[in-house]
Amino acid sequence: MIGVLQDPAWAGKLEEAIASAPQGTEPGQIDPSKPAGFLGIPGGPQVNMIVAFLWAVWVGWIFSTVGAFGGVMAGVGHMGVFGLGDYAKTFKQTAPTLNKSITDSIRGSNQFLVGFSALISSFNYYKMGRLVVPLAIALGLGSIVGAWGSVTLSAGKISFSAYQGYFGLFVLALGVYLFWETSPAGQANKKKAKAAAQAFEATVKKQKSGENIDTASLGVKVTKMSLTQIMFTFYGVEFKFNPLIPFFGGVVIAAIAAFLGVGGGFLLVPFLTSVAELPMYLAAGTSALAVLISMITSIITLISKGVQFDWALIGLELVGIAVGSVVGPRTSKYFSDIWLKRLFIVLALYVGIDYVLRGFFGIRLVG
Amino acid sequence: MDLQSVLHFFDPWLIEPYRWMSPAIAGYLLGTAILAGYCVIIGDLSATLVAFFNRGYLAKLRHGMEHHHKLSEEALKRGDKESYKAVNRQGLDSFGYSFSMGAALFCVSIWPMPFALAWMNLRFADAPLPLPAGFPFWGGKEVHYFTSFLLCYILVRIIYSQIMGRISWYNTWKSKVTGSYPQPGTTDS
Repeated sequence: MIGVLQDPAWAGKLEEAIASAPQGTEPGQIDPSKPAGFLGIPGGPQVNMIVAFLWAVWVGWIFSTVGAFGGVMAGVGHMGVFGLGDYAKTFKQTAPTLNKSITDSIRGSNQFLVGFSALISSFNYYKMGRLVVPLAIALGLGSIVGAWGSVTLSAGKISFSAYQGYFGLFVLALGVYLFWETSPAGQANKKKAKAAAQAFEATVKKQKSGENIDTASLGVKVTKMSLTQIMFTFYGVEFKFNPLIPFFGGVVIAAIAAFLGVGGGFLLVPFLTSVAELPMYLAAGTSALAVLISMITSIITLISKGVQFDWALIGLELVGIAVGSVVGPRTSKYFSDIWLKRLFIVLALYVGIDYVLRGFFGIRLVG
Repeated sequence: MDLQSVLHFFDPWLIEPYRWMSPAIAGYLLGTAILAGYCVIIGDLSATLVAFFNRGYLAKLRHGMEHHHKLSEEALKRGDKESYKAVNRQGLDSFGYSFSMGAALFCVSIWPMPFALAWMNLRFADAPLPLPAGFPFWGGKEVHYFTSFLLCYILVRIIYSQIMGRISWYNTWKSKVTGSYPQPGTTDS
């Protein structure tokens, strides 16, 4: 069973938190005679291996077919499906320290799955002269500050209910954004870009010169560096950005990602392309480094605060994700992109509203 | 058979490299590096297998990415920044799918890691690695097993990627199996 792995040694802080909880058989109490469950806590939830595995298959399916939302679903699994959230809540009054320790473990587990997986970006762009070093440094420094600051300020301090509420707010914002994207206004924006891209493609096809240009010599070349402006050329075209923007963007995105245990990678690329107006292919390669840095920073900081992980559960989930990612592409042809998107908008709005109500107001939509 | 029994079964093999060197710190680092090596190799093979199963789908994603990529390069070569931005915006969708599938592949490539950490928790939860000096992120002069394993793992993965990237038969085999999709743990990723 999951959880037994934490025996024989708990990190001191978890051990203290368990010791601080009143003993007994009621909710919010610990019964030492019960078998060890989640995190080795006597009487803690025995996560059903089959449910955990199947949920992870679902997360893997989302990762491989939907193009977003996998991390959110991993979080929903940790908080709701496995019963860890409800268990943490029972200690809200009787043992707040234990409530917060379990919360930290849940968000750390999310971070492990999502943050690690979000590391993926096309590293081959590095080799193709598509890494803007000053940008990577600005983003990386911001990510360290954001992830470390966010975890340091919140580890051991945030109750499960508050975490659930903030997580819900994030999912709700994501749902609203996806909803806007599918609205006429959002579509108009996309259509305009699509029309421009297609017009350009048609022009290129008409004017095919056939000459081969050595693209290796056309990579990123930094031409000017100061504290408030960095200029570089990419394929001879000049780009400039204020390094403070990616730095503060890195702080904010890494802080949110580390606090909620959601991946920051999917936020970084749109941020760099929209706010900092950087080319997508430069943003993609560069953001991978920032995600890696912030993920490592936040997990190491959590561990240094004495947070425990249920490695067996995380391992099982990764295997489930692997299976789901094989199943996903085989079934995706049966679903249209637009219907998938709509399904996830509904899911995001439902999960977001439900978690905000449960976390901040103690109101359950269902159950 | 639960996981703890499995970990106890493998324990003699996993702990052996920790005894190959002295002082104890050197033995610990060597043992952890070898353990990380197992994780990297098994993870790489697993990710390759999943990429093989999905090679058609991955090729479709790659085509979408490459198409926009080439088009954006063309726009840049012509100095047409507006078209370039439009193509980039179009490419974000393709990138999203590719990014997410890559995330799944990366999850596959690290699946052995938590099991290795579960074993380390059994062995080293009470025995942090002593450091010659303190560091700001973990305060004291000790490193928790997770931190030392993670740093070892990253280092081993980089070295593995560098070595394997120079072995032509490995790269050829990988390209054939996965349809050249850049994967985590290889020089293409």
